[in-house]
Amino acid sequence: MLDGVRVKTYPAQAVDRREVLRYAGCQTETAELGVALDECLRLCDNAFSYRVCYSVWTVEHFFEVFGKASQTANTRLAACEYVVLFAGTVGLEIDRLIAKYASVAPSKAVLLQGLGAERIESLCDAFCQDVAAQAAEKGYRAKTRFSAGYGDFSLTAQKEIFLALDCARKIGLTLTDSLLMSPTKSVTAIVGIGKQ
Amino acid sequence: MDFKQYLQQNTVYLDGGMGTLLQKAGLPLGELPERWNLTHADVVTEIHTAYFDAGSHVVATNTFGANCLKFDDVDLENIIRAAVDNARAAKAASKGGQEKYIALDIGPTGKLLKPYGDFDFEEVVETFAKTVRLGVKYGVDLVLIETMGDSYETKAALLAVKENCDLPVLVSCAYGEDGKLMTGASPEAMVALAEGMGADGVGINCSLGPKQMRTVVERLLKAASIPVLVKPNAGLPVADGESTRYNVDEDAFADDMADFVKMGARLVGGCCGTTLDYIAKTVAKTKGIQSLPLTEKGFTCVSSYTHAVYFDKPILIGERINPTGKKRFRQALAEKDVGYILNEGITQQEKGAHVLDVNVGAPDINEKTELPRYVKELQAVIDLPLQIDTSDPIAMERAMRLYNGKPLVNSVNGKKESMDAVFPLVQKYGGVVVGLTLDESGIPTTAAGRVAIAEKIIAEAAKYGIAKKNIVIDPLAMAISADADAAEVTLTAVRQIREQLGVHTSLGVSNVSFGLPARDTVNAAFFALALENGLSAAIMNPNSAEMQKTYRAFCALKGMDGNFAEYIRFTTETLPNLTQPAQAAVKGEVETGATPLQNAIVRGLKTEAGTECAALLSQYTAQEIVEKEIVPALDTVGKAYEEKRAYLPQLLMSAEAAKAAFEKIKLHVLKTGGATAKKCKVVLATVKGDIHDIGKNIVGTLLENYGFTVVDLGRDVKPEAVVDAVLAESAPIVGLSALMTTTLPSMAETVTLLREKVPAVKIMVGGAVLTQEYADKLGVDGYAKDGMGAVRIAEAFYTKMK
Repeated sequence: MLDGVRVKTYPAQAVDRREVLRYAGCQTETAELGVALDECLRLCDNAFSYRVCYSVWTVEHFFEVFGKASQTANTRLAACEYVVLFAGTVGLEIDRLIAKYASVAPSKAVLLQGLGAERIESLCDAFCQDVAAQAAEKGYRAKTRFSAGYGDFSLTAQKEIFLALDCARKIGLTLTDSLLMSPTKSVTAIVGIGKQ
Repeated sequence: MDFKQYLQQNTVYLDGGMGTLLQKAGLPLGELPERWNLTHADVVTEIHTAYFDAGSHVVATNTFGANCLKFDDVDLENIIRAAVDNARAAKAASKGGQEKYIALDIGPTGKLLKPYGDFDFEEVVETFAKTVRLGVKYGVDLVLIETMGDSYETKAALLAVKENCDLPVLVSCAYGEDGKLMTGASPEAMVALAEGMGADGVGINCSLGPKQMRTVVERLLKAASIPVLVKPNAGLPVADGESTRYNVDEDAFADDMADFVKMGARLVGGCCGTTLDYIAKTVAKTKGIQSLPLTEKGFTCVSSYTHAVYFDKPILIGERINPTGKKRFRQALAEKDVGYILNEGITQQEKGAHVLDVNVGAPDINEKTELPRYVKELQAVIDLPLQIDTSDPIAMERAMRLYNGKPLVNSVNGKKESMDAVFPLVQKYGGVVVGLTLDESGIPTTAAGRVAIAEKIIAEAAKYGIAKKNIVIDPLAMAISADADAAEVTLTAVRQIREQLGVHTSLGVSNVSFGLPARDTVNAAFFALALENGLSAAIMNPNSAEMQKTYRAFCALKGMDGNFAEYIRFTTETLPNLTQPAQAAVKGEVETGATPLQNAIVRGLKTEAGTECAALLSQYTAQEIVEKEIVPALDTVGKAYEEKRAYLPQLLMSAEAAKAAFEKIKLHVLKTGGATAKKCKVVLATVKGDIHDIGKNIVGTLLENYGFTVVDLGRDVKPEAVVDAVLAESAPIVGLSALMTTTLPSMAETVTLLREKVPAVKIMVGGAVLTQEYADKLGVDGYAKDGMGAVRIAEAFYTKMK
C-alpha cells in the first residue's frame, strides 16, 4: 500500500432517466412511467449521499494480497504498475425507501431500485473519470474498472477489500457474513493504472 | 475526585489520536493496533503518559476495535487487561498534577444492524457487553463510546454499558459534513437518545476538522442538558506527495477548541491526526477560560433514527395503527399483513403526523411478540418517532428495548401497579411517558381530582429520576353524550396541568364526540378549545380534514408557523388529498380494458379502481367481480408483460390498482359477512443470509391478486423458520428467493430441510442467480424466472391439487 485510505464526496450528478428505466426493466419511457419516475425522484429528494473511499497500491502489493489465481485480474492488470482500490456508496436512505414501498407500492420500489442502481453507477463513473484524469497528468492510463465477482475474480475478495479500505468507518459501507454489501447501492472495484 | 463530580464543575481534557502515534512508532497499515497493548506495551504506555503529561484528564485505552468479532475470548481478555494496565502505568508515571482517569474506549463494530445489515440487535448488545465487562473487571474509571455512525448501534452500546456497570459513560458520534450520522441521525436525535438512556456526556468526534464541526457542536450545545464532548480530527486529510497529512496545525486547532470551550463544550480532545502538541496547546489556550455552567434545557422531546420531535408547539400523534373498533385492521393483524399496517403508517406520515401511535392489542393477538414486530417493521421504513401503546409491561419493555430512538410511551396511570411496572422501563430505556389521570378509584369527575392524580404521577416518577420534561399528562377526553360537563372538566384540567404543574399534556381528542353524529365537527371544535387551553399533543386521525384544518389554522393564528409556510403547504398539498383523493391522470398507453374497473386496473389507477369496485359491489357479488372484472384485467396486463408489451413497473401498477379493488371487496365482506373465495396458502421467504427481497415482494403482490393467501416471512429467513411456517400454516406451496451466489447454499439447505420435514409441500424457487438448471439440481418443483412465472407455477400446482 502506498498510502492510507482517502475519502472523497461528490455532488449529485444529473439523473439519466433512460438508464434508470433500463435498470427497472423498461425499454422506453411511457407517460405513466414518466409520472411514476417523477414521483420517485421527488421521494428521493436529499436521499442520496455520494461517498467514495480509495487507496492506491502498487500492482505487486495487490497480487501479494489477492494472489495470482484470478485470470480476470491477471489480464485486467497486465502491464499495470498501480491499482486504485475503491468503494463507493450512495447511502442507506435509498434502501429504506425501497423497503418502504416494497410491500405497499412495488412499482415504486422497482423504479427506486433502478434509480439507486443508476446513481451508484454514475458515482463510480465520476470517480473513475477523476482517476483517469489524474493518471493522465502523470502520463499513465487508467483501465476499465472491475469488481469482485466479475469473471473468475472471486467474490470472497470482498473481505480483503473491506479490510483494506476500512469501508465501515470511512463511508458507512458494511459487508454481511454472506458477502452482501449494505447499503446495497454500493460498489467496490479495482482500476488498473499503467503506462499503455 | 469522582469523574462525574469533576465533570460537573470543570472542563475535562481528553487525549488525542492513538492510531496516528502508533503508526509513527511503526505500526504497519493493516495490523490491528489493539495487539500492540501486548506486543508493544511500552510504546502504548509512553503515548498515554505523554498525553497525561500534556494535560489530559482522561486517556482512552487502546481498545477501539477490541471486541469479540475481531478477537477470540482469550485474546480479548488479554488485550483489554493489558490495555488497562498500560493506561494505569501511564497514570502512575505521569508528572502531571491534574485529576487523571482511564476510559474504556469502545468503537463501532463495523457491521450494520438488521434489517439492513445482518447483525441482530441483541447480538450487538452482547458483543459490546463482553468488552464492557472486561473493562470493568480490570478497573477503568469510565466508558467512552466513540466514532459511532449509527443511532441503533449506539443504543446497543449504551445498553451494554448500562446493563453491566454503574460507570460514567460518554457517547460520541462521527457526523458527516451534512450534519448527520452515516445512517441519518441528527445531533438532536442523538442527544435525545443519549440523555434518555442516562449518558453522562454526548458529543462529536472524528471525520471532520474543528471548523467543519462547528454547526453540529452548536446544535449539540443547544439541545443537550448533559456535558458536550468535542474531539475533532486535525482538519481534513490532504495528499502530500506520496503520503497524507491533516491540514490544521496545533495552534489553529487549539484556537478552535478554545472557541468550543467558550461556547460551552465541557470535554475536549482530539481524534485522527492530532498528537501531543495539539492537546498541550489546547490545554494552554483554554486553561484560563471559565467553564460555562451546565444548564437543564427542560425540552420535552422524542426521537426516531433520523430526527427529534420537540413539544415546542402542539404535535399530532397519528392514531390509526390501532385495531380498536376496526375489523379490517384486526384481520390484517391476524394475517400478519405487514404491508397493510405499514401503509397506515405511511399514509399518516404523508398527511403530516409528527408521531405514530402503535397499538396492536386485540383478542387473539399476542402483544408480547406482535408489538415488537410492528415497531421493528415501522422503524425500518418510517422516520417518525413512535408512541409505544400498550398496557402489557412485557410487550412495552420489548418494544422500548429495540426501538431505535427515544419513544413516547403510552401509558402509565395513577395506579400503583401501573407506576411500579412502567417507571423502571422509562428509567432504563429512556422515553417520554404519557400519564393518564386515573387511579384505583377510577377517573375523577372534577378537574381538581385529575390534577391531583397528575401530581401523584409526577412525584412517583421523580423517585425513579424521571424528570417532569419526560412526562406528558393525558387528563382524558370523555364523551359529552354521557356527561354534558365532560368537555369542560377536561379543558380545565388541561389548563391547570400546564399552568400549575408545568408539564405537557396530551388527549385522545375524538373520544369527546362518542355517540354523536358528524363527530368530526365536534372533535375539531373541541380540539381548538383544547389547544387554546394549552394542549401539547393530540392523538388523532390525520385523515380527518376538519381536525387538520383546526390544527394548521391554530398554529398560523398563534404565530407558531413562520411565514405560514406550513399552512400554505397544507392547503396546497395535504388538504386537496384529504377532501378529494388525487389521481395522476395519465393517458394509458398499454391498452384499455372493456369496463371502467378493468380499465382502471389495466392503466394502473389505484383510486379509480377502488371507486369503480365499490360501485360494482352494490350490484354484484364479490365472487362475480373477481372473476369477471379483476382477473380478466390482470390477465390482460400479465399477457402484455409476458409478450414484452408492458414493463415490470406497469405490471405492478396494475397489481396495486387491483389490490385497491380487493381492499374494497375485503371491507364489504367484513361488513356483510361471508368470505372471499381463496385459493391456498403460499409461504414466501428470502433465504438466510440474503437481504434482498424486492423480487420476492413482487411475487407476493401478484400471487395475492390471483387469489392466493401469502404468508411472507421476509428476508434472511432460517431454514427452520420456513419449515415451521409451512407446518403452522398448513401451506401446500412454498416459494424461496435468493439473489446472490453466496446464498445459494442456504437455499439448498432450506430445500433439503423442507423435503425431510414436509415432503408433500410444493417448492418453487426464483431470484437473480437461479436458473432452470440449478433448480433441477436442487430438485424443486418449479423455477420462476419472474413474478408472472411464479403465478403460473402456483396456479398449476393449485389446479393439480384440486
